[in-house]
Amino acid sequence: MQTTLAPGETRYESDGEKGLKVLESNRIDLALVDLNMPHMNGEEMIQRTKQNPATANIPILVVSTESSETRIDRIRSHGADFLHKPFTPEILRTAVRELTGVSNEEFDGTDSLRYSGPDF
Amino acid sequence: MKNSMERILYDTAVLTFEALGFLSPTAALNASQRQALVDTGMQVEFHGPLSGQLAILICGDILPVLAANMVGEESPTSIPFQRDALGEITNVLCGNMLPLLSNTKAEFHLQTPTIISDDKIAQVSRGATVSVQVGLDDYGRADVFLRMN
Repeated sequence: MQTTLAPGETRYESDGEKGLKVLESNRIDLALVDLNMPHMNGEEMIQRTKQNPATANIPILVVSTESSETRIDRIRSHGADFLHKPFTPEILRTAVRELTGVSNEEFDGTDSLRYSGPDF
Repeated sequence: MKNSMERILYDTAVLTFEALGFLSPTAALNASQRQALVDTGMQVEFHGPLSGQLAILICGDILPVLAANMVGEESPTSIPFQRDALGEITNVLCGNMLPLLSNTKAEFHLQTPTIISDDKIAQVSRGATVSVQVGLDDYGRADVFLRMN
């Protein structure tokens, strides 16, 4: 797997197709995904991520204003978690900690996430 | 009907600017806010049980503050980042407004927000079904327009 991201680095992509490529070519600890994206929407991106054995175990957190319970249940059935926008930084931090298993002590004083796991 | 739409639009706008931008919205505009000029605008199309377009014009040079607040920065952010921030505000406002307007939790689909070009700014108010103004801090203003198809 070709890796272009350094430990602790984040990458932002504007559409689902590009996001999928990042997941497929890097070691990713967590993906934050919106639903309404051009070229490939969030739902399709999640399905394709989970169908690929190389990326199936990447935790995915959908961040969206979506309020349709049918759609939210569908997202969860694809294997992703859901966080309704807007949310406070503290709520996001809690969600990130829960999904990645990072402890409170591993967040540094500037509130950024510092990766401290093994290198692959 | 129009009054309740205005109420929903205004309340959702206030909550969005408070929650995302950490700004203090005001209903009554002071002189600075009333006279504030448009800096930039963003619009988003939506489809579903209701279809239309939501547009926000940001006025009074408040966008740099708004964008910096959204990410907890003290220094100004870049212009592209400010536009991204406004796009996110437009997206969140629209997404939270629609279930209230439609009184359902049906699925809506929002397009990617797009910037309103300078030559199209004046046209935003024409054809709007409802519009509201929100004062932001002491000198800024957001003009929010909803057009229903």
